Amino acid sequence: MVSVSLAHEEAWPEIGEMLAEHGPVLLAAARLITLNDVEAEDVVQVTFEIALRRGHTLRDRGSLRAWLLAIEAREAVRRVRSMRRFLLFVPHVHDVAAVGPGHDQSLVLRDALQALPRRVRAAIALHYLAGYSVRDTASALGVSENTVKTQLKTGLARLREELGDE
Amino acid sequence: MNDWPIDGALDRRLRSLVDEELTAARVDAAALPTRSTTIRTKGLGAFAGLGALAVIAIVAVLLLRSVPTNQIGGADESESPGSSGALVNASPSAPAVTQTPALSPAVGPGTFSPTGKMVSTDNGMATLLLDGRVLIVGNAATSPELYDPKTGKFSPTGAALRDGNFASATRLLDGRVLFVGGNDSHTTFGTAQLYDPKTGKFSATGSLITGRMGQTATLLPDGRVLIAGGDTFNYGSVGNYAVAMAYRPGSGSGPAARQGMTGPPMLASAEIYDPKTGKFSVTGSMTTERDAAGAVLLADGRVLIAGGGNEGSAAVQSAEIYNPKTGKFTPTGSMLTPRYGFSAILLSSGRVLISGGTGGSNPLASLEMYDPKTGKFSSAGSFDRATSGTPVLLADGRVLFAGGFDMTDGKSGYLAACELFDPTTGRLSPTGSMASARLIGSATLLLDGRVLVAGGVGVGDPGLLDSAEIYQP
Repeated sequence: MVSVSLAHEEAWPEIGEMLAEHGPVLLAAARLITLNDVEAEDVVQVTFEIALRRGHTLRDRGSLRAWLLAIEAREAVRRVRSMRRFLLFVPHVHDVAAVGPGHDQSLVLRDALQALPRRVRAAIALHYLAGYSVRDTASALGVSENTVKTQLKTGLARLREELGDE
Repeated sequence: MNDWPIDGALDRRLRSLVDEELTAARVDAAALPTRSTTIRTKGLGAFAGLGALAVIAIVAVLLLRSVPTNQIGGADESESPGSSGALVNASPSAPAVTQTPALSPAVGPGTFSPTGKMVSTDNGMATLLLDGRVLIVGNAATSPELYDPKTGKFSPTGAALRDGNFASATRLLDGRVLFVGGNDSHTTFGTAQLYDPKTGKFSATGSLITGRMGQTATLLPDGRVLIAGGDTFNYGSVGNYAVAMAYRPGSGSGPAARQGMTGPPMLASAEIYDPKTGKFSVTGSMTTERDAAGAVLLADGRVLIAGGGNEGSAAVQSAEIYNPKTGKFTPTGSMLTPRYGFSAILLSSGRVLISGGTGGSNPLASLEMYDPKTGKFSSAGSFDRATSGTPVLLADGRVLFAGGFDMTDGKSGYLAACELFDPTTGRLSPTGSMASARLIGSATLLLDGRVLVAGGVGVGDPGLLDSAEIYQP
């Protein structure tokens, strides 16, 4: 017989509180990647679930946030495939409250981001939100550094085009 | 310095967007109680099934934010009235709850008595050896130990060949113990090791076709071992700098080289280990990916594999049967509740008792029974509390559930109380309490019919216990 215990609880009782602490940054990153509030919350939840199941494997607990972000980014990118099964091509409704004078500009930027592939948005989110280097972004997304460089380069170029900046 | 040059205008706008998202997310996370209804309505209206998942997300986030640190996951799903309707739509509801009488400590025939202290608090998998001793190997595989029931003492034994978590421990027919797969913070392992009780040493044996963790390992009647499912998920190790920089985007400096996450996640594949050749070979694949599934050898030599986590990180409800003669998996009835990380115990009647685990972030209180004759699962009642300790089958056919977490309203904390499940009546009843409240690390039936309960987590910080107790049924 095989019994599998809830290893995270045995090894790391305080993980729940720590996850909650990182909730906002995970939610923000997920929203940037998915551009969909409902799905973003789902991604955060799945990230939490994975963390609860595998948190005990993280030896360096100080790096929890980076670890969570890496899990989340991969999950958000990976789930595009399964999302198609559910035909979730519904109009995007973003209900984040307006913040500050640059709000109109950010709406335009959101629309521009929408035109990018999700994995490119993931690269941008990790790079900007978490301050990841190209190497770490590549590491977190499980792709090569050259791929990330290309994604950032072409992604930012497309954003510039969409925004008509330069 | 960033590795990537960014032009000023776009850079500022992206940073502004990031700041805006972070601000909004902080506000939203703080205001989750008032948002949950909105999300639920929107989710059910526009997103059908996945919308309900979002409700689970909100509930889980709420629970994670509000529960005490030692009470992970919150209450059972069925105890969350605000979400029950949506949850029923998202997944089959929990089985009917059979109420058990309130427990009072020190009632019942069984008693616990203290035994020796463990060498290490790093306790994990326990395996009864043929000579009656118990091998305990924890997360740091380099410090395994042996418990000798004759002396009541723990002592160190030979170290494993490398540090890290083993994913499974299986006693072979010849008495050696097979440890397969596992992980450290960098990678999943494709290796396997054998512990020989005669020499007290570990040695390398064949390598897995696919390195994995979280798999099931089941000894087959012919002495081979079925390794099924698990995952190859490799989270890598990303440095602290990103933690410090998360709220200051783009201002961090490059970290030292670090290993990243590689490979696909959950596995449906299975392998067979043959002790005669010391090698792994491919066998049929399961019908779905299963990580942290429950597996048990049935009386007829087949293997039941149920539940687990699938590639979408959702709990699996289905179950299947492996036939060693054909090397194939075929579907059988589905569990009443999707779950992973649970226990499956073969009872003397040939039926299988399913207990514990989780359907996500919420521990499950329900018990289920699988009948190989009908291929169906049925409700076997429920605990008063959402979690119980690891169960162990007693010599008389009853099942001991020792310790756990009290998840009922107004209470929280580790339990010293224990319960017995009697398959003949299908009921849970209280038995003696442990000296230390704990979510036990391991429970092992000894050759003389007593049970060794060792280690686990209890009150305190970090709360890892090195105490052990003996249960006399």
